[in-house]
Amino acid sequence: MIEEPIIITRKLRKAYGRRVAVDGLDLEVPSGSICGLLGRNGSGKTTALKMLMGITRPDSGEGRVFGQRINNNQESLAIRARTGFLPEDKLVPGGMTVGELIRFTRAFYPLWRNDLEEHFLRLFHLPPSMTGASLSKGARCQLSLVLALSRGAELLVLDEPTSGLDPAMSEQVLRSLVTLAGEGQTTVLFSSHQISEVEQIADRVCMISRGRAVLSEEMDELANTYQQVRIVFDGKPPVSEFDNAREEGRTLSMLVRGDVEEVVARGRAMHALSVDVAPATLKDIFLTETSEAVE
Amino acid sequence: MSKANQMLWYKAWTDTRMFFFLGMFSLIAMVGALNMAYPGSPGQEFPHGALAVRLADVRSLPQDARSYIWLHWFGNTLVIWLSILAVALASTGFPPPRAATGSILHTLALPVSRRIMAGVRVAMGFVELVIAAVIPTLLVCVAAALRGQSYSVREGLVQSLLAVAGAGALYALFVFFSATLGEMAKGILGCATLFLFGLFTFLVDGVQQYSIFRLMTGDMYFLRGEIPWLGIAGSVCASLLLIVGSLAIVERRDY
Repeated sequence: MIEEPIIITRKLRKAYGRRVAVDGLDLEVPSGSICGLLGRNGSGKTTALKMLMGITRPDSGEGRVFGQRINNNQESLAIRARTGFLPEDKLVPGGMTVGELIRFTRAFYPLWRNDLEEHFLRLFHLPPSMTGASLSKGARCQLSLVLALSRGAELLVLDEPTSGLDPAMSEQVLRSLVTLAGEGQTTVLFSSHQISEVEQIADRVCMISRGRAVLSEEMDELANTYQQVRIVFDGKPPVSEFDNAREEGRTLSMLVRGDVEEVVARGRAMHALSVDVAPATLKDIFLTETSEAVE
Repeated sequence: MSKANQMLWYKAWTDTRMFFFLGMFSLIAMVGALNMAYPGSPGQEFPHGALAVRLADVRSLPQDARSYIWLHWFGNTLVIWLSILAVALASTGFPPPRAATGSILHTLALPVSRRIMAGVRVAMGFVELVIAAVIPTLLVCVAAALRGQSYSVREGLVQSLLAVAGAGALYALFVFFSATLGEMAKGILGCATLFLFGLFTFLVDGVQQYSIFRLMTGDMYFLRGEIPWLGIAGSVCASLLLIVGSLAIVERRDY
């Protein structure tokens, strides 16, 4: 039996006045996966994540998490009880100390993981008596992570989890996410501007541009679906003969989705000096897919 | 009460305690000032009138400790400071999205309904208003007794609860402003409302009897022994409407 995805959205839309933040988003996140949500600034990632958590209401469309409707108050409570959420700016209530904030958050989650709490507190060296308002930006990010990751949640929805962390801490956090997902009970959906992070830990990627999903694939499938082709000509290359080709001197570079053989054959038919095919990087795919949508 | 609800109350307390302590400190300091400024010789003129109370009523008062306490404490100090505290406590509630700091997202993502979350916050502010009115008033009664005078505790409690009934309406009004307006608009509209309302109360005779400040001074109770049920009912109804409206707005809002 095929397991139902933990997150499903269909034609999800949200506009703020005239500005459309999310425009018909279709998203699926399978259970147990680590899904990276990539998009440019203002592409709708944060709004999409906030809609999943019931913080923002969709104007139209449908979204379900754990089979529960995201725009129903009661069902949204059930979603939040099983989900750890990390907001983008990672601010915490300023009047409470680190210790109080942990006790406060823990009270809502019966499956709170004391082992993870201790692990992250040791890792981050957070002083329990400092108030949220007096923490540095980095420490606030670390505390937000402790509060999100220790919930014993089946789903983690993380909006740029490593922003504000130094590279060493970022690495530790990414490894922890992989470990959590590897335990088999946690699904992770995280947004990021760091393509390398998505490449490092995600087994699935979803790219958003202008509020729409322009790509949603298993990372393993990407290598089969996308190829980077470089064709070198003995003179000015016929750029108009190829879709989405970029001219660099006598060379044409292009990202090919699907049948690469047809492009190779066409290059050779045009008496190209050389035709090279290499696996496309996630960055190539991201730039092509998101720029296509923008154009 | 569940652990989660206890923590919601605790968080509401941590969010509001600074204003509460400032308010309590100020009111208790005023109790001290009231005693230090007490006129020793009977018959000495009392320098002040009372907010929203007719001057003729004030002039007809006997020149004794009971009148002195009522004029100064219930007629001025408590009304002014409780109003300020009500406005300050209301400003710590759920802010509108543009003014909202990201910290609210942490709370909103918890498995608890916004109605409960905001309701607990509003209730905490109201409880603090009651404490801020009652405790210093009891101190006033105790201080009067220590000075060999008397102000009945029962009378003090009734007067302070009348002050709370009025302050509660102000609190609810500013909770509503907090829920609906941006920081700047809230400040301007709030101050304008208080100023204009105060101005009408003190300058226009016809308005005086319907003023929230008059309810807070409890002049009907002090002068004639009558509890102003109509004023209390109006204040409570307006408060409930404003609070229910605020909760409904917060519940539907996007953050």
